[in-house]
Amino acid sequence: MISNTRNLWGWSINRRSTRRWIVVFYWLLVALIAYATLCYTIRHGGAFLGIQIIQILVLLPALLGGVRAGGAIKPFRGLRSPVYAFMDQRMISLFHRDTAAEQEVELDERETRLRDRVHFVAYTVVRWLAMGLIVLYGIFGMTNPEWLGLTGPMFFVLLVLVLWSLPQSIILWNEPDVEAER
Amino acid sequence: MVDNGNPGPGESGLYNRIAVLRAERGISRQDLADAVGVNYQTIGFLERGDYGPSLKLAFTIAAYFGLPVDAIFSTEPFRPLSEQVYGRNTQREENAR
Repeated sequence: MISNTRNLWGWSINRRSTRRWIVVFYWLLVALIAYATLCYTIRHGGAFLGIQIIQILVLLPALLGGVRAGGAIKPFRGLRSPVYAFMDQRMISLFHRDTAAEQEVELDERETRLRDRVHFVAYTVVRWLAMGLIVLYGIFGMTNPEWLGLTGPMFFVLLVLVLWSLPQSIILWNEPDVEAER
Repeated sequence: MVDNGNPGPGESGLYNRIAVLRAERGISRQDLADAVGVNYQTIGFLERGDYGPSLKLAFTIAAYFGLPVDAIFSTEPFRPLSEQVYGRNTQREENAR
């Protein structure tokens, strides 16, 4: 499931410990973006949110892969549309030097099974997260309606990020070291 | 790991002889992976017993080695090959006497 090039910006991701650092870095970045969104929304309203979402959807999931080719793990989908293929080429050249190794995007049966399992885990997490947010909104929304307007965009950004990158994070965190012997 | 040199059942609950057969025939993981149509990392998962193959993949691997499926995969630990081969010879010799 780890990308064929097994490197990200020239760093080897064969070792699980390296991949775990990438995941930690990624989620710290996510927390920072969520915090920045909250601060900006408090000062300027929700206009900034659109730009944030575009950045998030295009750039951040590309780092981990899955949604796009060129990240730390292979793309999840089986078939590629010509538009995706074109965009993937741009992403591959952004993250890797060796573009030839990333041409093969077919997942085998173990990888397909792993992909489906982590999506179920991610769905379960998001389901509980959404339930928690509803409860939180119910409690604070009644006592402090302004709170909803302020924190709403931040939670929205967080939810989008979790949806787009939790399966990849689980895979990167759990996949064992890639053996050198081929 | 069990003491006969074959990997334990791992997460899949299946014992297998892929690593032994591969070493015996001098085949790399990449060669085997290319032949059966999977990623070479998946061969590592199979050998460690961390992944239970589909029936189709199990039959493909068996066909590649030219052996029956139950000679490669088992839910019970395999007896060491040496014991199977020489144990049978010893039995034959004893019967001849």
